Amino acid sequence: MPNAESIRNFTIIAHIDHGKSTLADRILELTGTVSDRAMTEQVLDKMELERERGVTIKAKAIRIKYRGADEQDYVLNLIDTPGHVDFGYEVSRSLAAAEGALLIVDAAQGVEAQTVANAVLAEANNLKLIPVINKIDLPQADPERVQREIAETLGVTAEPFLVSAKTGEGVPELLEAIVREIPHPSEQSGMPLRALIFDSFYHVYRGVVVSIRVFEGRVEAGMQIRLMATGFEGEVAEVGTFRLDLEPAQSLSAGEVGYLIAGIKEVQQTKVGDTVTEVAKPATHPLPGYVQVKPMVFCGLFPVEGGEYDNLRQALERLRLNDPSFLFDPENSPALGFGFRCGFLGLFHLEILRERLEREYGLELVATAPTVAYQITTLSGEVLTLRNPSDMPPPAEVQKIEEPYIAATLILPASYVGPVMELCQDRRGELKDIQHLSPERVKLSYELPLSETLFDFFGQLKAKTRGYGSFDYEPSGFREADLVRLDILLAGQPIDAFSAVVPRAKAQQRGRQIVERLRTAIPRQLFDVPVQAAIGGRVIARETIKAKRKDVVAKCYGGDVSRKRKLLERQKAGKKRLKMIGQVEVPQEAFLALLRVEEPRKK
Amino acid sequence: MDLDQIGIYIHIPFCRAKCHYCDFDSFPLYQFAAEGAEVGLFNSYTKAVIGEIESASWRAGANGHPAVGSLYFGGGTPSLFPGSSVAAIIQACRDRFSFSPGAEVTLEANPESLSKRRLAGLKEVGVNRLSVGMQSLNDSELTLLGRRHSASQAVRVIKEAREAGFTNINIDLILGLPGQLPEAWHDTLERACQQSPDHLSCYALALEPETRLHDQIDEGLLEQISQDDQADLYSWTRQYLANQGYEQYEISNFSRPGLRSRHNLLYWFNGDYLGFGAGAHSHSQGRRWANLSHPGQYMAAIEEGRSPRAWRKSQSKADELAETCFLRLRLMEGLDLVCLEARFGTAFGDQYGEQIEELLAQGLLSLDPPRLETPTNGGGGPSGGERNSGGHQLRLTPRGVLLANHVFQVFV
Repeated sequence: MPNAESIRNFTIIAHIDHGKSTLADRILELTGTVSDRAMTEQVLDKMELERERGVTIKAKAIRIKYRGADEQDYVLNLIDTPGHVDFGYEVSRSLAAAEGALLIVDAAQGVEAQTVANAVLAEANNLKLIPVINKIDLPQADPERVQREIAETLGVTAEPFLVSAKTGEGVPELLEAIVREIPHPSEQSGMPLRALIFDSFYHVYRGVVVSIRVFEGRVEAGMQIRLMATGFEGEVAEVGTFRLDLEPAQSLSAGEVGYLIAGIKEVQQTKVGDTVTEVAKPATHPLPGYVQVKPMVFCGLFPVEGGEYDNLRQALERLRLNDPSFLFDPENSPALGFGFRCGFLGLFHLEILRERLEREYGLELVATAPTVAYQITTLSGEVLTLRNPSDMPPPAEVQKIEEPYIAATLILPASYVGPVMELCQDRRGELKDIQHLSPERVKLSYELPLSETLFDFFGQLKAKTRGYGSFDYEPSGFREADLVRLDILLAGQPIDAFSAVVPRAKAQQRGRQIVERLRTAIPRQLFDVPVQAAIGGRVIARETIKAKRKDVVAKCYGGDVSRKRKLLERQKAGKKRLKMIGQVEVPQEAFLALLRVEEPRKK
Repeated sequence: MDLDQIGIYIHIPFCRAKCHYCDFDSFPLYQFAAEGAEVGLFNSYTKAVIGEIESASWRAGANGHPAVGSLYFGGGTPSLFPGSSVAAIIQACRDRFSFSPGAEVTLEANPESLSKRRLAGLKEVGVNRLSVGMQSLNDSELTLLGRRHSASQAVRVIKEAREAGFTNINIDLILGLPGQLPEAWHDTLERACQQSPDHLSCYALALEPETRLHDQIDEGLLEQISQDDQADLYSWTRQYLANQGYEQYEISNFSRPGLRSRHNLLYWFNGDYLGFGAGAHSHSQGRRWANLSHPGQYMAAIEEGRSPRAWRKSQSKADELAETCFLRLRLMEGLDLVCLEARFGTAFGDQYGEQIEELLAQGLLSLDPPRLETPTNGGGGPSGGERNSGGHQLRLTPRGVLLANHVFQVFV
């Protein structure tokens, strides 16, 4: 058991692609934590999907043994953090588990939105920040400029460390800096146990493994523990630390980072940010900062073929095993049949899970357009949470509707400020602040409705800034809005799955856009199909999908038979991917078509 | 249709140039022989084809060796071949197989490669049906298509063919070209009919990938006409040709009574045929196969005593049934369900009954008499006794013809 003075708990924070994982790999390599044989690229990324997108989704920790320049042995606990904006809360709890942070900034790209967001979070948790400028090996690296940006934007004036995680340059010096600059945890072993849960995952053989940072007291096998927020009580089966796998230990004391296993069956029973304490000698107050994480974005998921419902349900349950922030409930749609209403932390979370369902589980899915959760106050004063637009009560019964807002930070080159401000304004944004990070780069702060970021906001931002813009946000409460439910009818039948909640002022435009998109996205049927948008029964837009008249191959002679047959087989297989909605065959693409919203054309 | 006879197909893969819409197995002549040295190439190719014919081993059917009812020279441009080569191949076929009396011998031709002399020569060596690739009688359309003849040339060639003694002449035409106004098509068809062909094939243009037309449309140089406009042109064509006394017997094929293409009917009845030459396809006794497409590779294989096959496929009964269904339905007379059951021994209603009911309800198919029963339980209606040709005819309705793919999917 190491003494607290030789422990350093630190994390690495950075904007996406600024080199966090590569630096972590390099540190592991240099300290001998990973032997070359075990070295796979970006060891800490475990899932295939994560590797592709280069973003870790699950927080992890790893214990590193390091012999310093002073010949002393140190224990460096590296706590990894999720990199994406959707997982802000989990990032903050990982930060709370540490005493210091390496703040990484790309030497060419400079400070970006998540650099700012993460730095702000780190400072809120009183972490010692060590600025690190990475990728100095690139020809376009400009460390001087970036150092200025760091100082001016973040107020971090310490001399940054210049490294290249790729080549390893500067990393040994960085390790020394971790030992010298980051404070060791304070000695608190005599107190009642308080340990912070910053992650948990489901291990096929071990059950739920909880990642903890012990702040006070000590935890060991045999102890009866209690999770203070969920109330779970159980006996600790094992504690230990993370090397590349679980390494059991006698106990974990104040200052240490590791895991415990205590007969917990589901990750839903462990909440990130919760406090572990001892039943026999409980702490009086939990550790600060615990927040009930709530899903922000919802959609309906339905199998294309009704018979796949059970497979979908099983797949969702498997996903939930390792993702406590993913929620789902059965849902029945008149148009799409039996499926599930799913809640995610954000759009990115939704996309990752949807892709996993399709790829890992081979499911053909229809997903309704994502929606946020609205709060509806009825005339009787009752407050309902609306997660499915088709559940919206008739206007006559509604006193007010409130929608979630976000405080958004956008960082972009100065020359694109005009178009981006137009974009935000068009999305009902309120400008709160403009700040120049440097003559070439600007930080915009906006308050805007979360729902306005669901439809191609990020894509538009990237397009208007030629890829250089970055975006981060945090929830900032609810605001009342004048919203209506837009209904879509196909062949005269209202299709609940296409319903959307839109601001009244935009309803006409949105209705016309959706109807036009559906007209091209839905293939011609054997009969005319009217497509209509309506509000409260009043049709505001209409298009018709004309009946198909010609679908025939003019020539079929001896040599054409095999080819013709393959063509027919392909056509037939293509139909299997279509969902029958009423009498109309609708492809998955039609649902996706609803996700794209065109910017209003200039007159 | 006598399915006890077989057809022979000979592929002549050479062309002077690639037409802009063509995605067939055809190769430019200049890739294989310099101008002036072509005769040598033709001789080599002929020799290879004859070699393949002579060594063709195939099993006799239940009734011994069926007779050949039709011989078809397709391509490429078969009319590029000298009469002597055509004669040699015909002779090789007659030597190896027995021909039924009055067997149909067709040769496809381009107007620019037919002279009076050549026509006479072809007639002499036994070609008794000529299929002329006219495509259009509008010179600017012919340029668009990459054709190497003019409208007046094509018209003259038909006259000369008649003078040479051909009594069975087909004209190939394409409708629905990019930018084609209805009047242009009407004009082409009217003037083509004025030549009194015995048979017409009118094909709605299909844009195939990797053709020049396709590229030009992709690049925005040409604009496709809509499928709906093509449908209109096609419907007009059916009506017009009916008024001119031509019977439509297949989706794209029209003829004077009794002058249908015997060889092509074999395809639509899914009968047996043997193909010789580069890229030729065959269907015989439950197997399909095809030769290597590239003439060079084909000739090398034959010369070296190797098999010229590119692929082979053994067909299951289900395969044969499915293909027979969608091929037979291309014919306007449709599918005789009694014949089908006799041939395959299956109850059609059991296999496809439900989907057929749906297509009948959608007005894409018609059933005559309108009950899907086997004749053994008395189907046929009150006048069943007179209807002794077999009984149940399933056919595409006029609307179904245009949406035939939708119908045919049921069978695969």
